[in-house]
Amino acid sequence: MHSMMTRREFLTRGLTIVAAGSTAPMFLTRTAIALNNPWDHPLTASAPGRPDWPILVVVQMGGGNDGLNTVVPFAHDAYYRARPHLAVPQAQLLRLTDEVGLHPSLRSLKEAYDDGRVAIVQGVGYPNPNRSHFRSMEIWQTADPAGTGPRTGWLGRLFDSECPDCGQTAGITLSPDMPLALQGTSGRAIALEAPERFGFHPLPGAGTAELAAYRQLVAPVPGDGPMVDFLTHTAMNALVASSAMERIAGRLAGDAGSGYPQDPFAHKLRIVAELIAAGAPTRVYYVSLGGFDTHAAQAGRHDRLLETLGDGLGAFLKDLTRKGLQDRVLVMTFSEFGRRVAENASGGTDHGTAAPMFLVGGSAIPGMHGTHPSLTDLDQGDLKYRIDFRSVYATVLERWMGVESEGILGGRFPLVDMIAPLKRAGVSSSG
Amino acid sequence: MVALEPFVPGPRDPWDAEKAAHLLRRTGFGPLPEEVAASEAAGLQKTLEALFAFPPEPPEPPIFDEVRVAEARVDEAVAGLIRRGQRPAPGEHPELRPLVRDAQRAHGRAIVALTAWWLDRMARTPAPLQEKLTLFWHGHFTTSFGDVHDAVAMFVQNQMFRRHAAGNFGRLLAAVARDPAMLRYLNNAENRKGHPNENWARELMELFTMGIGHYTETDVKESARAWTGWTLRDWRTFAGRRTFAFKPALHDAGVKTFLGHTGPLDGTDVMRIILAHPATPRWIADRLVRFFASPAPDPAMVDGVAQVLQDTGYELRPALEALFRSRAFYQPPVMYAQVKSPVEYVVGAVRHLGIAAPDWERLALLLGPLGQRLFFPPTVAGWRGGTAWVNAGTLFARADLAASLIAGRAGPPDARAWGSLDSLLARFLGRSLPPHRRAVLARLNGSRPTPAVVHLVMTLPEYHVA
Repeated sequence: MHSMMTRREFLTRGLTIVAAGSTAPMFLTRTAIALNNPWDHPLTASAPGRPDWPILVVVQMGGGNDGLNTVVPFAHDAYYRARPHLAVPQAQLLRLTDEVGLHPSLRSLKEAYDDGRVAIVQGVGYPNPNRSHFRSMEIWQTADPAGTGPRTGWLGRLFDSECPDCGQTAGITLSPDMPLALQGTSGRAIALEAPERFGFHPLPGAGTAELAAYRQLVAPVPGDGPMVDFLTHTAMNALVASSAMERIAGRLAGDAGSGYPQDPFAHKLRIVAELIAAGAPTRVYYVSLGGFDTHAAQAGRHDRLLETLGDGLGAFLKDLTRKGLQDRVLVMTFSEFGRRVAENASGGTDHGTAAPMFLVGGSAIPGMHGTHPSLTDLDQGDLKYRIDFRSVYATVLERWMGVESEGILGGRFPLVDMIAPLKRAGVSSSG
Repeated sequence: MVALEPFVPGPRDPWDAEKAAHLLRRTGFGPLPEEVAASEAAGLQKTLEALFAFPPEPPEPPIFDEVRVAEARVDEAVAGLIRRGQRPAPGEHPELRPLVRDAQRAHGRAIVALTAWWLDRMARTPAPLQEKLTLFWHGHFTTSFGDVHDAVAMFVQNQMFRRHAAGNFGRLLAAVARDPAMLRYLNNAENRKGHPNENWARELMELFTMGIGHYTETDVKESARAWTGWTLRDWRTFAGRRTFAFKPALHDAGVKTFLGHTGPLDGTDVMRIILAHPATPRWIADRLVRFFASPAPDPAMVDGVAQVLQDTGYELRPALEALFRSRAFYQPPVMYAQVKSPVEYVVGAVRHLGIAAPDWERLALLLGPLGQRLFFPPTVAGWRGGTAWVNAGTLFARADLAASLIAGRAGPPDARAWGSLDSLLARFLGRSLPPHRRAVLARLNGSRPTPAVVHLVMTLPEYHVA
């Protein structure tokens, strides 16, 4: 692994090589790609000598999930007073403690909780909360509430600085867009919606000659402007991962259903499970579930969203267990904010602040962590957070990914005891 | 603030085909060689006059018949239930449910037809800038069919953007505030006295006019009160949900304090205060410059455009003309600094390939995997644009789309228009290619460009850049 060029080296050296001659560069550039391509290793999990690196699956609940109707503080009368129409009756809740219970749509998650696979961190937020979707999502994704740091994602910075052997597919998002969270300066994440369609497909009949020409055409050339340069690197990155995807696509097609619900969110988790099982050299997967911006007619919508979330995660956990991968994968959920304590006039809730996070699988310490925010001591109608989300990130980075968090997060944050202290080798000490 | 320095052609820096192609790419969709040649011959001034010669809005396309029939059935059934003393909630009453489902399906088909109609306009209009601006405003004042579920309302909004495309921003804003699709998308239709809904009030400032950092949470809450009662005429009928109404009974007429102004403010006052705020011209200028010039704009360029907006009371045409006339618009940080949006890529590809009567409905659906479903912006902030258009997945998706276009699956391409390799490159790229890339293509080329060569040209890094 030491002989591998980092991407940064590859970029600078690759360009020098190209600049040196006019016919040789194609071959050399391809060699450089192959050198730096962990996908070229045999795709078998736990092959001898192959590190079992920890894998993080981030689930983004876009729109601002109503934390109070997710982990419901039924013991607080103020909850029922603030939500005459939207409060979940105590009898319907899946009771966790004497104070809180899960929304009834989260049956599958409750099962996992009872199996000791789920940690719930209560009242997570940050100081001076921002109630704009975009700004708050940016804050969660950059881990930079002040907005003074570099405009890169916290996971992008993990790949940049703490993961030298991660290759060019350290992060995979199952979406058409690249979330800011995965964006770093070295571009080591790819966006992937459907493995079966992922690849450069030459015209029928043109075959290998066209593919070979495409590889040559997307090699960087001195004098390419910044935008052409960006495109050549994106294309090279894409080519690097595409051949392995075909193999994974075959597995997905061969085993229909396999216990997952029939919805796009569950399908994405299923692809993640197959990628992990195939030994993909990826450390972080990013899966989004949107639609949580329930300003109006929240009741039915939020129920269905939580069901999608819980049932998808439940099936994913079972699949991982079947594959013997349950201890290698930690799932972390988050949303850009919770919602206001009081319901609004449209049977919905407006943008709020603190909310709970779920950590599922891996070495998550089961149970409730932290205390529920007060429902009476509010800040302009909103909950006051108890735990800074960067403490959760720091714990995931240090105790799960096995890396130093200070450089990535731009400061030290107290760890939360929701993940067992590290026993394994870290992400960067593979090989 | 300093005015933008205009481009003055001279012997060393003439108005040439490369500049003309640049201007036409940014203000339209995949210019053709004959259009570039005409602009080169006419000069910048005449090109701009032609660009801003907008025709009146087109008539409603004949795609809503099925919708209207299905809606009439629902409205009739609702009226019948009301006569029997019931208060039916659409979608819930057992008698209504199948009829409502039919209407929703009709709207679903109509939104695809509407997308096809718009793409066809982009490709064939004599005034592409009118459509480019309509697209800009669609991404700025986002509204998604996914929330509104009404193709007719989306068409009405689309026509509104076209009508005000290069008009006055203040008048456009006033129209948006009364637009039924927007009232539904950002929930102001439900914003009423004593029960404010802040969605519209917040995005109005954050995304549509000022940008974050110029107002407080209290301003958002007070603005939401001012907008109470700006709603729809009648929730119970389709036509009623497509008609704006101000309902005094739902309006909070109390005293509010918004951005330092105190009084019994309503929505019109809020707009007036916002338009008078110095952040607003700068924000609009920033959005325009990002879209038309560079995703990482030079602050001086934004200031120059903002100054024109401020001096003219938000007239958009002179502000845009100042941008397109400026020297900086034709310099490296702006030229080739954009990634084509999926819509630009698809409409441009159809034009470059010479597909005379494309199956636009098919192409409308293929825009999704490329990351830009028209009438379905991903969030209220619209499409992020710039480098966000392209990643491993969307780059391959563009290559697949190009392959299916070349194979004639959306209509036969006109191979006669391609000519030799060099005329093919001139037609598709409007610029020269580094010798080494040209040599790769030449090796695969026959006496005329082969389909594989055309496919490779359409997947070149340079072809994705605008």
